[in-house]
Amino acid sequence: MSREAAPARRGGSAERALPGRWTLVRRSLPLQAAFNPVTLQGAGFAAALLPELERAHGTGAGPRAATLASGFNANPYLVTFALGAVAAAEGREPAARIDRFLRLVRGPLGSLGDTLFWGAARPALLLPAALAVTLGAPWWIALLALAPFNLLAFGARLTGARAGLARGLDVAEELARSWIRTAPARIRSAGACLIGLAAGAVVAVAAAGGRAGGWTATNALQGEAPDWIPAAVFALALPLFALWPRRLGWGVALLAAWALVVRWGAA
Amino acid sequence: MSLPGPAHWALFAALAAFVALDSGPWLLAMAARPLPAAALLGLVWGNPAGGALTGAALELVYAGVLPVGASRYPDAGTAGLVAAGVSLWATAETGGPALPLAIALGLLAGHAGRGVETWRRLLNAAWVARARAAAEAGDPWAIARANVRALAFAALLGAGSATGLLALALVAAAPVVDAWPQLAGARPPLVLFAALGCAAALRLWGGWRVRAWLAVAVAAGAGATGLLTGLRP
Repeated sequence: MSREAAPARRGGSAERALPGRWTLVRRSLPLQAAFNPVTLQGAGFAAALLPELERAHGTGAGPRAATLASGFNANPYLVTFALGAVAAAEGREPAARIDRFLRLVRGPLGSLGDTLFWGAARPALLLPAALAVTLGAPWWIALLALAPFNLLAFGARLTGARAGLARGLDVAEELARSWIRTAPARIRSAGACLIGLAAGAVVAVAAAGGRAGGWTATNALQGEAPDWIPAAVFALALPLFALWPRRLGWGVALLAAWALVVRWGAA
Repeated sequence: MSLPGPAHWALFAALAAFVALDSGPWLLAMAARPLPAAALLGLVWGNPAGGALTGAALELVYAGVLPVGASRYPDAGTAGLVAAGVSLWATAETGGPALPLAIALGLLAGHAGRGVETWRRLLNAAWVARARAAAEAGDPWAIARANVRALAFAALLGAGSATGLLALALVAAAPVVDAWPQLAGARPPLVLFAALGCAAALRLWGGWRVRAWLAVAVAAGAGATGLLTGLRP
């Protein structure tokens, strides 16, 4: 807590109950509802804190909400760190200190969250699931892959809400010690293993001879002797996709080209 | 060619609204990624395996796109829904999923969806500016109302735009779907998918440790598959 004097309030009360962790998580869900290029997540951030602003500032809550809505951006799964901190600090800390905290914390929350969720967890779960489906795995694998991701997401949201409410504007120390900092490297290694295993299985099944018109491993495994073409295609396509900046277009072009070759070959 | 019936369209629109909300405005449970979105469409249209297969292809293509900060990126959820819609319809009509055609139309829908999202964000900016002015004047809950309005609009816009894009895609696909190759004997596409997945991991993660894990795992996956399933040269 800062030793600076708390700001004067009109009708607000500094002695108030803080929101619960789940309440804060629930309020954080529509954070990006009004996302826009000017204030980014600002409106969602301010809307999530309106009850606390009213309790802290009374009739002065409007201008304070407008200030908070003027601009904010962080990873949406980690925003509860900032929400909890501000909920605990409003009315107890000077507004200038809270605003400075928000300017400073948005970078770490954005980079840590983007690295963990967009950069590590999402590809580590969905890419192996996608490869498994192309191999003929059951369709529900596609939905099952969402379960660990959401466990992680709600775990991070709850961790942030707890830490923010408990530590207020000193929450950055908690963030620096959190599992959220170390998790991405582990998830990346695990994801590389899963993706590699699935990709290797795909190449082996393809080398065993895919059934005409078929996509399942079961059919392919009844096929002819392996040949070198699938492995060669994989070896050529991998660096192309990895290095070419617009690989998305190349992927489609290659799929279409292969389709036409098959068509003409069949004719 | 017969287009999907009213019940199919209604289910598609409802799912598109959910996907539009999940893609950013609310929840972010990743149901708006192409793989789960397409599997869900397959589920409600009665062919979950077909939907999941189309979604898997698009998931691999879109894996490297990161929604960081205020960046603009293709609407992967709409792309997955439209591609799955085309593929499921083609399967019902011709017996084959017309996967390349579905993926190509899905990618076009994804780029169109990016334009729709850009426009939605600009509209949000206007609503938030008005709400902030009202809050300055003493009505803080104007910001919450703007948020709810934006949420409802995102769902309606997502449903409307995805449904419209699917209708356009089906109209475009109808004349050519019979002539479109069905990827018979599709071994190279299978390994292209594998290459796309590994390339996405390399581009996203880089580093020697990840490369080493990936290389070892590819060899282990191929070897284990061969051993476990009795493949012989």
